[in-house]
Amino acid sequence: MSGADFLNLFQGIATMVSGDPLITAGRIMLIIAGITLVFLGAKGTLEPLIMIPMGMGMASVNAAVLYLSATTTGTIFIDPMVSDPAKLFDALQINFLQPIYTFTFSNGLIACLLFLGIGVITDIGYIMMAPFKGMLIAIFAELGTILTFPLAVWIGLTYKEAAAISVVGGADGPMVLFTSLILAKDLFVPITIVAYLYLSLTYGGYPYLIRLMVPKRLRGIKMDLKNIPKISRMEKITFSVITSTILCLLFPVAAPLFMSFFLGVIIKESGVKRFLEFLEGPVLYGATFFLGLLLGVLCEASTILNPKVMNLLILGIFALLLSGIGGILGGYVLYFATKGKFNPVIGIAGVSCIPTTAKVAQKEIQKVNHRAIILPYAMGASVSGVITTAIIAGIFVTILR
Amino acid sequence: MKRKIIFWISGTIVALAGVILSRLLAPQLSGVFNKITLVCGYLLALAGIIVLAYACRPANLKPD
Repeated sequence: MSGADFLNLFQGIATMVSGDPLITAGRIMLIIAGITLVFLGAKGTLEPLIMIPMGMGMASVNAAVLYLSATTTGTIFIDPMVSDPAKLFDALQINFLQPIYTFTFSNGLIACLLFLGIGVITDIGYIMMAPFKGMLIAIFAELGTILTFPLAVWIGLTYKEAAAISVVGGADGPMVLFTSLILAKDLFVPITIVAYLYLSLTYGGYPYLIRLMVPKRLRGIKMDLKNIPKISRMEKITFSVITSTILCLLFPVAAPLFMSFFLGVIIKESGVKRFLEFLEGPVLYGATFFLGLLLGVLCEASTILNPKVMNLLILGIFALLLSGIGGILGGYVLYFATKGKFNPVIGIAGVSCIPTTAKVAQKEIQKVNHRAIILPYAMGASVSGVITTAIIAGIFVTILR
Repeated sequence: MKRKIIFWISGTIVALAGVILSRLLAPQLSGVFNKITLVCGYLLALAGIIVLAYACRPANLKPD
């Protein structure tokens, strides 16, 4: 049996070695990376909801390259670059994930579904109990978004690409997806992957940043929970309707996201049980699952091996690191303004990534002081972070589109 | 109750003023004035939203 015959026993191996050696090496690395993500997700080191389907998709798509015709290779998972209507129609009938990609991903619907689900699990009352503090921290926590933009332009990205990657600093996955789809369609796959990969790392990385920037003595500061105002359902609904309308008037391009988020909030406050069960279960988790799987499947070596990807990797981590630092600095500003009554760790929650950063802050504080509860304030900063990121993304899209 | 209504109305007016600045006035201007008006409009709208949120705080509560 010759070597060629042996390779033909497993067509995936034959196609893997038939092309450019760089792509072959990339495929092998991505298969290993995919398997690693699955295990780290299953172990709980990384966010399992995204990482397990993403890792599985990544490993499978890179192993499943086959001859589509005598000369061309590809997969029957997805064709992200197809745009010609006739070819798209063929792709919809052949590639098993193409319908989900075409009808939910490339038009931003999946981001809106995620925002609907996030809205349903968000209590807007957390912003309303301390609006100034929440917004101030959230503005500080956009430091990464603001500083990454000029850096990205300096590195050589276009204004649109720079804006899309700098939104990673807002730590809001659906917002990154939405912005990159509008501003940098050619780079939206690597940008979104970089964003979600790093967002899952915040759970592991931000505790170290907190310990580095906030001494133990300050981490144990208790917050005042007695004077938290009680906010009625009608007040929350009124606030959501007015805020959503104002944001839609300001940024019509991002209006689908605003509407989705605040609609989720209003449904939660209205207590429409059937909608609530539908949105917080099937819609939120269905969208998260398919987002993870599609991101993984989009990590095919020939798509991902773009010379700009290395820059994106560096800029993404830079943006998130600076946002974390900015958030904690915002926490310090409030600590000094309140004469030591505000726990600066809450600042990290301004990097929205709702509700992960709020949980990280609470966890770190409780390691020092078991009685300290800061979650309501941290959630307020986190929800404010969603709004400020949406506003910055809206500004980018409005000015640069 | 009267205090709350004042916050609701003033917050909405401030936010809408921000919208008018950034969506109606800014496009009529050019150069630096356009950018300044745009940014002022966004900030005013954000301030309006914060004022709205204050409507829900009890009157006897210390300022945030």
